[in-house]
Amino acid sequence: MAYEPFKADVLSPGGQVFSGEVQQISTRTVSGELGVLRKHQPLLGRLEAGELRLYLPNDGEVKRLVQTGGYIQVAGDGGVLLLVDEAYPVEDYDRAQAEADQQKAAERLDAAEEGTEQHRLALAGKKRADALVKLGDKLEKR
Amino acid sequence: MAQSDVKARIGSVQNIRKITRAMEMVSAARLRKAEDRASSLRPYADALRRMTRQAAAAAGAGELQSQPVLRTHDQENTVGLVLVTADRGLAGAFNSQILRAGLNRASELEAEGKTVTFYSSGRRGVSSLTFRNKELAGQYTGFTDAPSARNASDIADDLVGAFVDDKIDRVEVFYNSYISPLVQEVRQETLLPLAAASVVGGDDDVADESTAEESKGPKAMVEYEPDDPAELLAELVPEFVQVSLLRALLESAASEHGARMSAMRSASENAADVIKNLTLAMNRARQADITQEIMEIVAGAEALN
Repeated sequence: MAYEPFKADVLSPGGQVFSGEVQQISTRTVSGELGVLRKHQPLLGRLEAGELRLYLPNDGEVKRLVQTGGYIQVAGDGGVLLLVDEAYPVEDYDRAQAEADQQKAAERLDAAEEGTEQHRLALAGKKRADALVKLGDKLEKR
Repeated sequence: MAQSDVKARIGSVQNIRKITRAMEMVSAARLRKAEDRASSLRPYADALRRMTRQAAAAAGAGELQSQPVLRTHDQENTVGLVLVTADRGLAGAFNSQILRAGLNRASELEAEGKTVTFYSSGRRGVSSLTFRNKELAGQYTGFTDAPSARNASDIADDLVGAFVDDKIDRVEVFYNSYISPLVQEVRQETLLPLAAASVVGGDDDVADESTAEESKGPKAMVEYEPDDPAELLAELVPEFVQVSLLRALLESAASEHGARMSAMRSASENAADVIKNLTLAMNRARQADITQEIMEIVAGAEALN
């Protein structure tokens, strides 16, 4: 099943991750899994750590990436822009690293005093780390 | 000096020159990479600014100004100084000029009766400040020649946390800004409170584009996730702290390689000079030995006659 292609860009602070036509994007926002097709309603959303799938047109090849968080914007003209903190191919996913990060985030959270901004930031960091470890479970099941 | 001594010294200087030449070439290669990384941040920052502008417009006027990272504290009693140095030395004045600028600023602030909190990225800054008995609120090492977004966000989280929790009232960053491979300049920037201009202002192309978008007939309904654009704005604005910090780290990395490259080049040149002088000295010593020997032989022969 092929959908009509549209333009998508994925940018990270380290440079351009992807730019080109896709027929579908599947990602994860704070409200859950999100699929974007052509002529999606204009949107501005916060991305969560998870899998980012770019369905390329024609042969139906799927580019699978890991996103660690970021933002998605669907502009009025239908162009889709994803700003990700970090994105890398799923093959590069490192379970041990994710668990080490989770451990570090937990320590940070323990050290922070409740009710402070520091605590809030540490909590967000912990959630991000948890989501990345959970993603590992999902990838392994496949 | 005896001939053999001079010979040994020439050997050691030649070895040093080999090392400094190699370091120069390594730095030159890394410099190019660091330059690329520093320039690839720009499109990201511009796109982030466009999104923030959209969220700010949707959240309503005043919402942007009330963001805690933009708020100027009524009293600035504690100032955080972030010194961006390198993990390694051998880069000329690279590290020392940052430390000098930071420490000067610290004594200036202390003279005004303010408390200074130090943060340092780079092993050089950390060890130097520890040596001076300065307390470090944050130390970040191990990445200075190729900093990533993750490194910047770790530092940014600490700074934003401390700022919003009123532990520090102002944050200034000192780093070597990259002008050209041969020129680095110490730059001092105020990171927090964040200037509203750095969030929604910026270059003119971007501004034009967004006003053009706004005037484009009836506005389409925009969906927000989370539903409240103000919530989204609260997430977006602190990102600029991270972006500015990452830019400082990346520029510093490029500067580090540039500084090391030129420091190593002059070290190699210097080594060449030393070798030349030592060779001259050795030749002279050898000539003196020969002359001495001839004179002894002649004197011996004369004594026989």
